[in-house]
Amino acid sequence: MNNNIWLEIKSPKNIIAAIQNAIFPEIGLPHKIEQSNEDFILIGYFTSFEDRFSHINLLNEVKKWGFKRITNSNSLFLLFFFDKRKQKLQVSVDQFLSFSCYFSIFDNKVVFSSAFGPIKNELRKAQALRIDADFLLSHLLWEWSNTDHTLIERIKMVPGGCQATFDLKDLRFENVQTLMDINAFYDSIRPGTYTSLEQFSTDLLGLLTEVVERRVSQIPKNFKIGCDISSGFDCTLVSYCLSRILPHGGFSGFSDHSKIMGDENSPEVVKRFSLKHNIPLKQFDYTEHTLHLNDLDQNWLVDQAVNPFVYVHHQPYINFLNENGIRILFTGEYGDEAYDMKNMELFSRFPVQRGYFDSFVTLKRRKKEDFFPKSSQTLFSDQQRFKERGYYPLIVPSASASCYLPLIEAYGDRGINQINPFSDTRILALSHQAPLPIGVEPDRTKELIMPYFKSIMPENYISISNAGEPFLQLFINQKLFVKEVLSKSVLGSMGIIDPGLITRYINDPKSDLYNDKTYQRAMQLYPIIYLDWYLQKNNIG
Amino acid sequence: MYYQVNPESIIFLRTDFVCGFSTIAYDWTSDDIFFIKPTEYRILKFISDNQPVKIDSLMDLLDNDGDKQTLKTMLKTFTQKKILFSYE
Repeated sequence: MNNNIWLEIKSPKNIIAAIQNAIFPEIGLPHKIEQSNEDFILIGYFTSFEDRFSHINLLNEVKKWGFKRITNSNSLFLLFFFDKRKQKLQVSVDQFLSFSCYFSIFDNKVVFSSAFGPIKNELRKAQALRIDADFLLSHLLWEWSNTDHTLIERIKMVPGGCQATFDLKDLRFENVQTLMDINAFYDSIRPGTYTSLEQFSTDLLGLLTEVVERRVSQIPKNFKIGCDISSGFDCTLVSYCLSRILPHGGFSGFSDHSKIMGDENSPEVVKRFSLKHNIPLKQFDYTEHTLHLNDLDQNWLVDQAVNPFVYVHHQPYINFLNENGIRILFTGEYGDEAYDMKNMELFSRFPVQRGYFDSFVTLKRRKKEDFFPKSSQTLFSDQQRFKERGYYPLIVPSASASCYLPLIEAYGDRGINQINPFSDTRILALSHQAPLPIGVEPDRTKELIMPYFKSIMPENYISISNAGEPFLQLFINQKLFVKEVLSKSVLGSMGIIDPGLITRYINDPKSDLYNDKTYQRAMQLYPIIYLDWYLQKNNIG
Repeated sequence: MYYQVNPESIIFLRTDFVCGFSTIAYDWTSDDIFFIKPTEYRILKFISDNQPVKIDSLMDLLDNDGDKQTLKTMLKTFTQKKILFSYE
């Protein structure tokens, strides 16, 4: 079972047939939609967590307003809107990027897929796969943007909060444009009225409970619900809300932990929290995976999401959830971003500039220069590749939304849909009103409000002291694999890295790769290895 | 005094009109991102398009003494933040 969508259109005359042959599985939440009249067909997925929208009469909404209003709401969707008379197709993805929607036009057809692997394999039958340089360079620097680019030049995607338009007469992609109204969101935020963090915390919990309840109420009865639980704060708070809403057994808590990941997730703290709130709990030890002890070349499947970090950190957990029949997983993702929203406004409005600065900071601060020849450093910092990007702003940080995308695909591949209550714009707006002491940075909001949640979470904490350790373990436990990748390096043949220099560096036990306790070196090298491996395995050049 | 923009601190995009010709810049002295108002954008864009730009050319863009004083302050601030490079 998986959540993967597939739609292939060969001619405007066979839209009905294309829809009949398309794959739109039941994913539980959002709801599957298929509505039509004489002139229009609307198909895809939609659920709103606001009273003003309903999936029942969605066709009327889209006919009248397009996707604009639903995009600027707390709704999850991926929708295909066919105009039969004009022979046009508009495709839109919600502002939370809760679906990936890849597309490519080749062999006289336009193909859409929510998973990267299948569309890549189909395109490969027709033509050689070429790298998209902007995407590649960005990912080597850990820069994630809300983009229409993918690793492969001829495969595009619909960015979050955007609409892509296709002319089906000529099977032609026309354009992609943002539907986001960033000003409306920021104008809607009330000036801070809180005088105490205690009152703010009470209201935050009340709103989070409401936001969670709205999501729960839309889940079909036969869909088994899970929730991440950790000894951190965000997902644990969501699980507490669920325990107040659902009867005992209405959901289960799931928790994974690794012995090398520091004290981020103490199994004992999680156990005591679950007992306190009577939450059925299943725990999973993934130490072996974080140590990179598996034969990665056998286990990193080339058709899974591009990022094998997903494999190491999430795939075993995803499999565990799947074995337990979970179809909907509540998470605490976006928790950190939600509390830090006061710092996000400029990034919401200026996403391309942020990507540009992030790249420079990474190049400078992480001292990557020595892994990259001078010629590739010029490529990384070339303004032109940023100037050619479209303007696709998001309220939720673009970097987070795009970074989570491989996870959505990996979970979707096992028929699991993640629900992230902290991304609800009502939570984001409320976080703006946190009454912080003068001089205190917004990213400390969580730490400051935690004492007011002591009765719910007596022992939880934020510490993530060792999160970088698994990156280093790749170079310790998979040395042969890493050297094999470097010996056939595609990135080296493109002049982007110097494989010989990196191999010598990895061979040197005194290098700061093994001695830097911030793991910055390992984190720099990690995407180089996995992207190079992916390019080799898929013959992308 | 001549000025030119630091390309690592500011980037001008064809989509800048969407935000009313405002943007953000990176302050390398504090590692902060800060907002560039349309009036400041206009000056920085002029420098970027014509650099190096002599201060007299910038002053010629303005009519009154108040604006010229504001410009001098802006140039000083942006030079301190390494958004602008200056030399004699």
